[in-house]
Amino acid sequence: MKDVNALPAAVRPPGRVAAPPFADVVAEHLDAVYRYLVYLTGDRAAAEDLAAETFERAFRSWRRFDPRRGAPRTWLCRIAHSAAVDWFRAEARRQRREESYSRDEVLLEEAVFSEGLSPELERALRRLTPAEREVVALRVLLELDGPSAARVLGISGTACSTRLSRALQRLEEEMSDVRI
Amino acid sequence: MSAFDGSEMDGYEALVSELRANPPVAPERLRQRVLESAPAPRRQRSRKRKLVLVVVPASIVLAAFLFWGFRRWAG
Repeated sequence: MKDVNALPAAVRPPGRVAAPPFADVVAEHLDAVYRYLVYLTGDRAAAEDLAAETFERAFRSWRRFDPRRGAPRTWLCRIAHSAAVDWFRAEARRQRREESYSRDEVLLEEAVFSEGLSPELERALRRLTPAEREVVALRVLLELDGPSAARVLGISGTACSTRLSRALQRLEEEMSDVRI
Repeated sequence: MSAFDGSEMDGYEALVSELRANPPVAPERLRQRVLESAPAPRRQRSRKRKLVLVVVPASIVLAAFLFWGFRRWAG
């Protein structure tokens, strides 16, 4: 299995540093960025828009990307994180404006995280906070290593580790509650 | 024990396997949308072309200065 945290072979020091073609980056990392955003937002339509925005932002700063400072996946997730933070702020403002907000009801009816998940796990994921789902996405789904995930989240390694432990524990507890 | 040794996932193997086995997949329309939004890559200039564009004009300017200086000195 490919190590997602490793630097691309073509760009490893001490050789000359060159960013891989952008189309290759899209092909390799689009699914990962989309998965991360689906888990973080709990909203597939928003995840699509944010993934598109992430790659647009990434393309604009692609020439400044230095592969020696981190893997492309970590860099893209940081951009996605920043785009999602803006989205959450806008959503909060929108929710305050619209009192008849009924997104949660919609979420209960359709599979958001994956059609293949058991209904118990799907419901348990919905009950986690975005921050809990985010760390699960980064560490479990995208298989980022601890330091890379901590960098994306902007927290310490220890805090990242604790957040993941709590998120997994809560996920199991929520699944048991759903089964009862 | 390091904070990053992956031990946070110990005891949750079944949960982790189910999550990893069923990830959300990006729809094809998103792939198309992202690729269409990226402008065409800039053409890389060859070394030969760079040489022609930089060294040749610089040489002409230098030669002109030398010629002009020589004429002033001789005249």
